[in-house]
Amino acid sequence: MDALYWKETTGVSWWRCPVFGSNTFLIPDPRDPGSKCVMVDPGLDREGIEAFLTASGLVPSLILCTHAHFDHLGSAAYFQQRFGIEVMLHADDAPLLQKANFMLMVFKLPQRIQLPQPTLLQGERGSFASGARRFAWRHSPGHTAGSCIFETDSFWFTGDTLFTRGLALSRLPGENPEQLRATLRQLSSELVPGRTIFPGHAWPGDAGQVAIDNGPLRQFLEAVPEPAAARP
Amino acid sequence: MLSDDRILQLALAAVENLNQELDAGQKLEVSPDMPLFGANAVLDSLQLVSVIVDVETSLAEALGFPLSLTDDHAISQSDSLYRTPASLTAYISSRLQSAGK
Repeated sequence: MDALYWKETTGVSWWRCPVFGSNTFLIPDPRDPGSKCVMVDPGLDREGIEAFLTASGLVPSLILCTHAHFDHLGSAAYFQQRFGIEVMLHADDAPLLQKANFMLMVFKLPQRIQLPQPTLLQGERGSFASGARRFAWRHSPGHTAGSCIFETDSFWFTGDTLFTRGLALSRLPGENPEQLRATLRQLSSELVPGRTIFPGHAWPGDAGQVAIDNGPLRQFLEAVPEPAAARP
Repeated sequence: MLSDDRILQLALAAVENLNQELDAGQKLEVSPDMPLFGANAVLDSLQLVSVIVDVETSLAEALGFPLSLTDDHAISQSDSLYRTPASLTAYISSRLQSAGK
């Protein structure tokens, strides 16, 4: 299912960056769907995202970063300055943010990014509004220490915590596979039909289908027995 | 104030930590001048990240305050501090001296 399908069925516009294949999403304001939006994970392809934004006719009023890897916030500073808007990132990823250009250098990528000035989310859960749209966020550590899932309506923007297919085990600093397993265990009971997963890479999908079809996710969860205290 | 010898020990210990995770045939010969980064590097990208972050962590513990080896100041050095454990040591020592620590 392509970007047009997701735009028509959810209203969410989806841009897949050619660099690293990371996803940027534009979530329209329900009261003003033709002009305002919230931008999720503006990655390294600034020109591509800007052209996508222009073509959509939308103006972002807020930027949400699911985590601090450069392929998810590489152009956040640019859009923050251009539109004078907030960038939200979990506080536990603030140290990782400072390493963004180091990681680009080590991986022999020519780009260097300007770092955004984020509003840091503290704690485990919270909520906020942007225009007429309400969001809830939850801390979902594991892929990085400060990974977050943003939720609005029946949509989850999961970054690299939860993919519709496969898993994001990267061995990058800050990754904690056991923490990721605990996070995914908590989420797994909420993978229900009708909820849409918008992941950090690859295709969006229905959460109920993800629970059935994502074999690597199931295997990862089953590889280590669930702690007795966590069982109902 | 940490001596240069102590800083070098921390850098070498980080490579030794990595060595413990490698198979017997892949063990690295650890020395102050081993090439960590650049044309003849013996580490891949993920291994380099692991070593540098490990040094950052042990350095913060030894100093009692953080000193970033991965921020934009560090990576803007024209003579890359990541080339060898010795170059890493020289950079750390110079940062500490300029900070009067």
